[in-house]
Amino acid sequence: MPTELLLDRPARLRDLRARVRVGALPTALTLLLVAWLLTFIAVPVVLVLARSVAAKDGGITLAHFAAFFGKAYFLRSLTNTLILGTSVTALVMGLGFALAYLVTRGPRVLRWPLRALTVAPLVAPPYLFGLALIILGGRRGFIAQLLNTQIPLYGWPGVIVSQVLSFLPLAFLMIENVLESLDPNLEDSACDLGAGEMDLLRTIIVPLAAPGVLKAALLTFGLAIADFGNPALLGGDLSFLAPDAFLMITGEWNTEMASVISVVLLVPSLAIFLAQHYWLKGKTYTTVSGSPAASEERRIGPWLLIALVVPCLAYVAAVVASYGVIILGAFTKLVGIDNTPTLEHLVRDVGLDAIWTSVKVSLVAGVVAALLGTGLAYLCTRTEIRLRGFLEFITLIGFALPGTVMGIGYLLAFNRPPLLLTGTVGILALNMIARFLAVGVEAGVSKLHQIDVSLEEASADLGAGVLTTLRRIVLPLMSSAFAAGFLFTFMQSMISLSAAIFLVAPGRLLASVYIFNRAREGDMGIACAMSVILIASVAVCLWGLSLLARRTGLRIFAART
Amino acid sequence: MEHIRSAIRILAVGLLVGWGVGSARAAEEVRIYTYMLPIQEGLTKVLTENTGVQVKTLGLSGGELWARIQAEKPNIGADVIFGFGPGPAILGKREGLWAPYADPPAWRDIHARYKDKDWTWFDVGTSCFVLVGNKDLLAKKGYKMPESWFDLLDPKWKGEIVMPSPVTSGTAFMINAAFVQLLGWEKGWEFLEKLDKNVAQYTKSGNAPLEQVGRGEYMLGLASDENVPQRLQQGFPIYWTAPKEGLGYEGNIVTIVKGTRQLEAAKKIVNFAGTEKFQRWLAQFGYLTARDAPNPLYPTKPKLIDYSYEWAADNHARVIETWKEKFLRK
Repeated sequence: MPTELLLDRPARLRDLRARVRVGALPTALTLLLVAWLLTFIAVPVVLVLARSVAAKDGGITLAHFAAFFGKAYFLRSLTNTLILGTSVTALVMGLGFALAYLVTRGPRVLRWPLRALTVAPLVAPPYLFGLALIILGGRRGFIAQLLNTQIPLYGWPGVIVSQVLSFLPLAFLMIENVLESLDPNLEDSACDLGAGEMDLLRTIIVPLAAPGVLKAALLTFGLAIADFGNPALLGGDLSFLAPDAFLMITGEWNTEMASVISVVLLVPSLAIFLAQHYWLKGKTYTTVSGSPAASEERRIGPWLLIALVVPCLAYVAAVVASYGVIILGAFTKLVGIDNTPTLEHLVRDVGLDAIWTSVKVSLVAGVVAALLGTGLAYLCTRTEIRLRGFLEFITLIGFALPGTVMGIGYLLAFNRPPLLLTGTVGILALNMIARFLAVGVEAGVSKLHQIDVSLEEASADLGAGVLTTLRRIVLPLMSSAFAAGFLFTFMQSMISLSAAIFLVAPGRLLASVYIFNRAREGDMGIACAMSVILIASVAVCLWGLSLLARRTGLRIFAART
Repeated sequence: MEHIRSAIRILAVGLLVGWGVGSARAAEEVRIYTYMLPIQEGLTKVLTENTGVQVKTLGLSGGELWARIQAEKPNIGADVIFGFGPGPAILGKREGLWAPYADPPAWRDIHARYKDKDWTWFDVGTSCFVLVGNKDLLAKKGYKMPESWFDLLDPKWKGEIVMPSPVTSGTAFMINAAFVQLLGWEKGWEFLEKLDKNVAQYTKSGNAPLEQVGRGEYMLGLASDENVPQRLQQGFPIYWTAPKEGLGYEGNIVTIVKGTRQLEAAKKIVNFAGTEKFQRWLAQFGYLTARDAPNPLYPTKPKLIDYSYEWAADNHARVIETWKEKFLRK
């Protein structure tokens, strides 16, 4: 297949859009999706926003905002949050790119183990790394005892390390997806023409991967500033906006102030989204007209290899150590104090019940989010919807807003007729879908940007209808985006906490909330044990899915070389 | 084609599972919110086994529990609140959130101060905050456990004391409110300001100081007593004491939510909470129960700081605001 760079994309896209617009189906689908997005993302958010300017007498006031900006404490929180987001994003991008480069182009022996260890944190509740770090590196943790020194874990080091551990896997998957979709022929040709590996990186890989990496950076930044668990556990006396919003609600039931904090938290996300949106325009690259091709092992020079491998190994070591401590905690009476082996932590009725609920909710949420996400991605990139920027924006809002706010928003929106949903399992699934839909959309948009429009045009020219083109061309090509949306939503739903904590109900308890409560009470044994079971359940589900994938030929997991 | 078919198959399975989950709600089920997190599993079991009602519990910290009720009313997602602070209980009563249950038989011979005069709430027993210390760390320095709360002001404890923050923790509210009630508003805050100079960290949970001291991260902690017997039994290297000025305490309140569809079952639970059987069960964890029962933590009743629930309800916001102004770290 010929490889084309920098197509005359807009004109041809316009042409295709003209054809797609003919069918009534896109319109109907669009209306449904719009209704769904408005109900389950926009309405709760608007209710929260309304709270931030609600005066006691029912009028509108800016007094809450004045209170926020008048206090040194909140301004410090804001600065801290931005510093945290920037540094974590920078670290995650550097590490993520190094890892993805090694996994897609590095020595074959390293590829599989590196990849497996890199994505491992994806299945653990993020705050668990906080706990593992406390056992490992706290004031009197293992490392402190071993080296007989005090490590300043509480504060910047702890929060940054635990956030990097938590958010790297997702960024890695996205960057890997991008690198994999770059046609290796380009790089091979460059090599043949005498380009060195740094030239290759500088002139081909980095520029071509930039839009995808930027999307990954955006997601990471959003996750880092909205994270509650790690800063709350390891921040010490540092304050951050997301935990502040959480505390405003959990501690003072002050939904007005919490809403103000969320609005402030939203501004950086919004700014980045807009910048990226316009920066990306006209800067999309197409190098693969079809499925990603297998990439050959590349000869990496010793210095570059060391520069890539050393940080990757440090990261992998941290992951392995964290998991080790968690497993140790699960099977000993009281890790660090009484290391007698025991199975007592594993038998908890309420806890096991919660894990089962989590599995069911997450599977449903994953499937629906992937369907909605890829559908939206297609509508946003290939058809002429007037509101497409708005739609993409809404999904990103759902993703960017702190979970706490989406939780409170859902309580405000669905606690009374016509949609009385609180206390049901359904509200949990809906909330997860609304919050994680953006990843499916982003993955789909990324993918569609890389798939040349010519494939669809050819199909249309040969007389295929919209549906046939969709079925025969677009869906097969987008199955990896579908998978990304599904896997992300499924795994996040298994472990996400801050919105669920407001929506779980007696008998409809999620494992993440149960584990957090146990961890917060200091029941480390139970917290570790339930996490081990939770991680095992995720593994079993993924194994079941890969079986299903083999049986049906559906590419649930993106193809590996 | 194959892709579509399998996608549809996955969707169908997903929807079926969702449907099953949604409709699986049992009829005779009582939903409970509780902040008695350390005993949540046991509580669920003991209530289910003794009342014949299928009990489902949700554990939440004090602040969260009340935030949730505020956000959910009038459709509160629980039938019974089993264990929360008297402050919120009284505030909720003023808002008319609870259904009264007049004169439950099992509660007849329990002292009146454990029962609301309008029968809207019942206090199964109180939790206290105590002083805990790490045996090993104290021995290393040759320090003794303080006998008075005022001993904590000694500069030698600088950076070695942990206590919870009232922004999240009900225990911490109780701690601050107790000192203010014991010493008076001005003197109380003066004491807390001096104490602040020695405090290394304000934790989110009232049980966390016990864990941190137990793990040897800090020498002394002001913590809820709820988990102390369990931790002692598990071999935490800790001392605990009740300083001579007395302990602050707060009730663990049980109420029935107004509008519940399970009123009769809810009444069974409230009534059972007053029985000798439940009270003895509760006392084994160190709660000072409404009925006298053998208590592993307090063989005799400890000296308690005079503490008014009504005062706690009236001054809830004021105490937290004052604390934030003074102690919230920048």
